[in-house]
Parts: sequence; C-alpha cells; structure tokens
Amino acid sequence: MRIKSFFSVVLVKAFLNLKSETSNNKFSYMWWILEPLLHMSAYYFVFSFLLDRGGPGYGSFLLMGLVPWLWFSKTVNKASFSLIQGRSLMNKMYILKIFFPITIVLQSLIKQVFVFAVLFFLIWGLGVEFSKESLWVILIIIVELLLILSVSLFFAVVVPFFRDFSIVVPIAMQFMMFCSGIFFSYKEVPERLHAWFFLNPMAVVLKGFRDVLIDKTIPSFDELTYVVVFSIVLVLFSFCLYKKLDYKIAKAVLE
Amino acid sequence: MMMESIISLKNVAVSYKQNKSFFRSKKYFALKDITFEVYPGETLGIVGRNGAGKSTLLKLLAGIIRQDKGEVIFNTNSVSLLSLGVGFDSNLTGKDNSLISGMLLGYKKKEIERLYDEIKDFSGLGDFYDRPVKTYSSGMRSRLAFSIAIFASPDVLLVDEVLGVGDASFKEKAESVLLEKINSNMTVIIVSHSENQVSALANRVVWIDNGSVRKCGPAEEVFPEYNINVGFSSHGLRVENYDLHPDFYFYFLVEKVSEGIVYFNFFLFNLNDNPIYDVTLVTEGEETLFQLPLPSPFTFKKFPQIKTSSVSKYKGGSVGIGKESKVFVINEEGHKIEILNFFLKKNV
Repeated sequence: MRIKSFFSVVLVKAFLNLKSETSNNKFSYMWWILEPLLHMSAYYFVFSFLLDRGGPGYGSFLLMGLVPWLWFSKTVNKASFSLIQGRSLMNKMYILKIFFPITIVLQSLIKQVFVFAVLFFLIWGLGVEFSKESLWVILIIIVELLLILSVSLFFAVVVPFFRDFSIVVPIAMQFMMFCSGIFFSYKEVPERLHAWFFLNPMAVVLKGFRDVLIDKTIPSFDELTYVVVFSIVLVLFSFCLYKKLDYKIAKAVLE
Repeated sequence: MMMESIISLKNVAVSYKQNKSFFRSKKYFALKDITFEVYPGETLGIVGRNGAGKSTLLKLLAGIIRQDKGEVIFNTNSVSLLSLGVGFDSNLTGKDNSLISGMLLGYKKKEIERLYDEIKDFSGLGDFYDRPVKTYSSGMRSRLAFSIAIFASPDVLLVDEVLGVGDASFKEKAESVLLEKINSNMTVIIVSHSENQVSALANRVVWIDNGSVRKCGPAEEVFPEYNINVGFSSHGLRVENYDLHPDFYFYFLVEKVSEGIVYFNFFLFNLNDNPIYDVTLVTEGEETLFQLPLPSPFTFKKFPQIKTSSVSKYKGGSVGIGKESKVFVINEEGHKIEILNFFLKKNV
C-alpha cells in the first residue's frame, strides 16, 4: 500500500469510527464535551468542596489538566487493544498492522480539536483571559500529540505478545494520572523532587498548558525538548517493532 | 507441458504457539509439510476436514501470515481472499461499510463511490443499504459482503466456502458471478469441505489432511480416496493401500474406535445401478456377512440418478487397526467379486 492511499484509508476509517461510536448514545457528539465536564465536576466536588482546596480559578485549573489528560489516557488505552480488536480483519486480508493504532490516534485527534475549542471557550467563561503567550498552546498540543502517538504505537504492538500488559496498561494509566498533577500544581511538589516529577512526560505537558494559559509565560523549552526526544525515540523503536513483527502479529493475536 | 506456476509451495510448515504455563509454551503445527503448485488461470480446489489446516493454508496464500519452514513463491502480488463478513461495523450503514471494506481491498475512495449503486443492486438490499448493518439479517450481511468483494479483480482469488450465501436466488447469482470469474483468466482457489462444490468448479484438487498434502490431482481421482478416508481422519486414522473396484461407491461412517478395533457402518452400491446381493467383510480370516441394506437418503441425495443408492447403508462392521481387510459382494450372476481391499493405519 502506498503511503498516500494508506493515509486516506486511515482518515476514512477514523471518521467512520467516530460516526459509529457516537451513533449508540442519545447524546452522541455531546459526550465529547460532557465527559470532561463530568470528570471536572467530580474532582471539583472532592478537592474544592470537601477538602476545601484550590481557591478561585480552581475549576479552570482542573479543566486544563483533565482535558489533555483524558485525551492521552483514553487514546493510549484504546490503542493498546487496537491490534487485538482488529484480529478478525487482519486475518482476512493483509494489512499494515500500524493501521490500527494510527487510526485510533487520528480518530481521537479529530475529536480533540472540537474538545479543545470548547475548552478554551469554557475557561474564558470561567474568567481566564487570553494573552499573546496563549498562542504557545498550539505547540503544547503538538508535543502532546507526538507523545500520545509514541506511547500508543508502543503499547499496541507489545500487548499482543505479552497479554499481561492488558492489565498493566490501565494500572500504569492510573498511576500516571496521580503523578501528572491534574488536580494539584507542580508548585506543590517540593523543589528537590522536581527532577523526579518531570520525568513523567505528561507532567511536563500539563505544566505547559498552565504556563501559557494561566501563568501567561513562555513554556519551558528544555522540558518540552525532553518530551519530544522521548517521543521520537519511542516512535522509532516502535516502527522497528512493527516492521520486524508484521507477519507475526496476525498469528499472535489469535494465540 | 510445463507451465510457470503463479504460486508455489515447497515443504511449507506453519506453527502456532500454545501457552502452557509461565515459562513453557508448546508449538503446534497447523501445517506440517505442504507442497503444491498453483498454475495461472486454473481453478484449484482445496479440500480437507475441519481442522485439517485449510484456513491456515488460506491465510498463507493470502499473504496474511508467513511460513515457519519451507518456501512460498508468489509470482504475483495481487492475491485476495473473498471471505464473508470482513469485520463490518454494525453501527454503520451498508454504504459506509462498503466504503471502508472497498478501500481496505485496495480501491480508491472515488472508485467505491462510483460502485455504490452497483453494490446496492447486486446485493438486493434496497433501502436497507442506507441503514445500519445491525438491522440486517445474517443473510443480508453475507449478501453485502459478497457484493463488495466480488467487484475486486485480483490475479488470484481465494474463495472460502463462499457459496453458502443468502437465499436460493442470491446463491444462484453468486454462483454465476463466480463462474464468470472462473471462466475468465483469473486463477481461483476454492477451499471447502464439500465435494459437490469443489468437483463442480475445480480442475484440480489438493487434499489436505493433518497439515500435509495427502493427494493432489483431478477431482475424479482425489474424491474416491478422500471419501474413503474422511470418516477415519477425525479419529487419527488413515486408509493405506486401499483398492476400490471402479464400478462401486463405498463410504465409511466410523462409529467408534476402541482398543485397536474400529467399528463402522458403510454405504455401498453399484455405480451402474446393478443390484448387489450379500456383502461380506473379511478380516484376519474372519468373515462377516451383511444382508439387508437400510434406506440411505444421504447417498441418494448425492446420486439421485442411481436408484440403488437409496437403500445402501450397512451396519455393524468392525476391523482391527493394522490388519488387512477385504470386502466382497455377490453380484446378479451369483459371482463373488472383491470390491475393496484396505488397511487402516494410525496417523503419525
């Protein structure tokens, strides 16, 4: 398959998947926005109301962490099982195995464009003012996309061979959720532990969002470079795995 | 006449892994030793009982998996598997599903969009074409799948038991399109366990048993031996050195195998419709006499032109594994003739 036709199939499949996904629920596309809002309400209730933390602007602070986090975790979770879910298709015709996770990543990107648009509207409604630094958010989104792509490709190709990962991935996601600073700021982490805290690429990404939107500063390029290098290395490594294992995957998903 | 083959398999083996425990896994060979050639333009049948390795072989031919041993040479890069239900998304309409299935089969988006009406007409789905596939009956699903797949024109078309599609009128339509493909230059490989389908369509038949090629040749050469064996292969047995009189039809129905003895019933009749009198089975000098045959709609359905096939079932035969056995009949003139000589062996 040529690259161009490969991507046109991925694009069509991604749009059709979104259409299929939303056709089952009454609120269909509304869920794209409702879901992060419901998550936000839950966290807001626990942290702001019960624990009396956060203070003013906590709602928009939470949203800015939750929306990028949900994008990351839902995509990676779904992509991890994409090869196993595609087993009947890949056993009926030859198909590049990378097709399955790439479709998932693209599908959630399309959805996320709308979600981000609504997010910015919402936090503006909650009192966040945009400045010229806010435009850096585009860079942060691109860095997060690259990170999502790399982690998704990697887990997707590993899971068919080590099924135990299907249990590990959700736990890893949970752990990462608590370590990424969704409901607390990195400023609450002691300075001496920052090196550890920012080893987690998602912590860097979430800090980036808040830097440019709330603190109105230029993002830290050193930290972002780390995430980009991390992602590129993982993407390249995953590519090698897909290339090497292409024919083995069709068998592994059935074993 | 030597022809360049379009696909050639030499001593091919394919294994799957079965996890036993944390560190141990067992290799299981679905295909052990497969050698045959596929020639351009021919229609090749692949037969074998369930679990013989047919579907693994199909995947190998379709380029989905690769062999672990041996060699497969493709002299074409256009092989496609006509198989029903290529993962339809049941929330999407027939139209959307044709788009994505067609694109996965290698069409451009525009080409499929031009084929929408043809697919809709051929499938006979009518208004259902624009409704979600989850509202379809299973017959409608296979009609849609067949209609999408049939527009593809690869060099080699692999057909997987496809003719069990939908109702009688659609079946006829499907068969005639398939025949069109067979009569064109396309190379067609049909995989099935049904003798009727394969012998009607295929020029040559490859019989797969237990992961290996048992026999390869014209349908009329392969099927008599295939039929003799088909009842035994599921018990891990094979018929060796068998010799069947060409005027007779013989089919084993294995009842059970215990302590080295095989208990079976059988169908037996004369292909020229001559009546048969007493049948005797001789094994190790012991003689069993079979007198009155029972009604047998199974064989009469297959051979409606032979009246005696409707009453041709004999019950209560038994032979030992590894012992030579013979079957005799007394014909109209009162002559005793040997019609079958066989020897059962355990499969290795």
